[in-house]
Amino acid sequence: MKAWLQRWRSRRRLTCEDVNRFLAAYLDGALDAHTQAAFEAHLQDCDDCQAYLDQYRKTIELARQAADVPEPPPALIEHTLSFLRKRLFEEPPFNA
Amino acid sequence: MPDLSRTPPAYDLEALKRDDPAAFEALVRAESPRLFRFLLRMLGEEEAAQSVMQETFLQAFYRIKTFRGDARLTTWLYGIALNQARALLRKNRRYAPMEEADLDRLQPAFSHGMYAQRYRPWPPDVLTEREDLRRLVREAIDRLPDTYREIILLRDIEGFSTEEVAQLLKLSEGAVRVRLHRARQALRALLSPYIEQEDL
Repeated sequence: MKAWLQRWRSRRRLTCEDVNRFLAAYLDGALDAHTQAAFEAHLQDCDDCQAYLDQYRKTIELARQAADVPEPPPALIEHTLSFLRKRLFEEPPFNA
Repeated sequence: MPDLSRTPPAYDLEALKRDDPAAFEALVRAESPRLFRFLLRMLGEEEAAQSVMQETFLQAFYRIKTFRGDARLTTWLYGIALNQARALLRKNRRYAPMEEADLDRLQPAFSHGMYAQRYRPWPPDVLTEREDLRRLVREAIDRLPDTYREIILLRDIEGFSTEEVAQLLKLSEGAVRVRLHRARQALRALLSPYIEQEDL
């Protein structure tokens, strides 16, 4: 089948709303081959879906960047082990 | 997308189930930094994060014999942490998250299968130029209902795979994607005015 015809037929099957519904699965690589082809064919010809996908991806990136937290306090592990030793074992339990 | 190729450390499960102190210590040493950061993101306070982490390890050690190995040990551990953190959040809520109906209003609208409004790509420098963007993003994440905030934290920030999040939250992978999608779309809509204003 000619490429343009294949694209047209694929695109015909998916609306912007369908494409939107598949975004998470698309980014997970979880779409079946036929749906992925239809998804990408629609995307290629639709400015709104391309722009929305761009914003969607940047939202994920922004969430990841904004979630930076300070490094844990240096004594965190020793405090935790000390707490657990007290609660779990009467004698020093970790044969360190 | 998150790095899905993280190789989990191999823990000696048999030794853990025998209450071997060295095995417990290895688990605490390996998992504490990441677990602490996750809890700090979820709870917002170091003291609370440390307290919940300690309680999480304690519960894990008490319950290790019931761990059947259906999920990775790390996933199981985060499940315990999540439940502990939820309980604390319910007691000490710092903010009033939005309702499900508010979340509905933040989803895109469609007319005859097409977007009801036009979209254009966000400017590429948006991630770096606006100095207060990180704060705005954190505030927007905090406004999401707990179940949506959790899923953004686990999937997009901690980088758990969809399969792992499904195990953690006891949902199907499809249900995880639906919830995650709604959460990401709500977040996008909350951030959009700040970013598009910058683009004027």
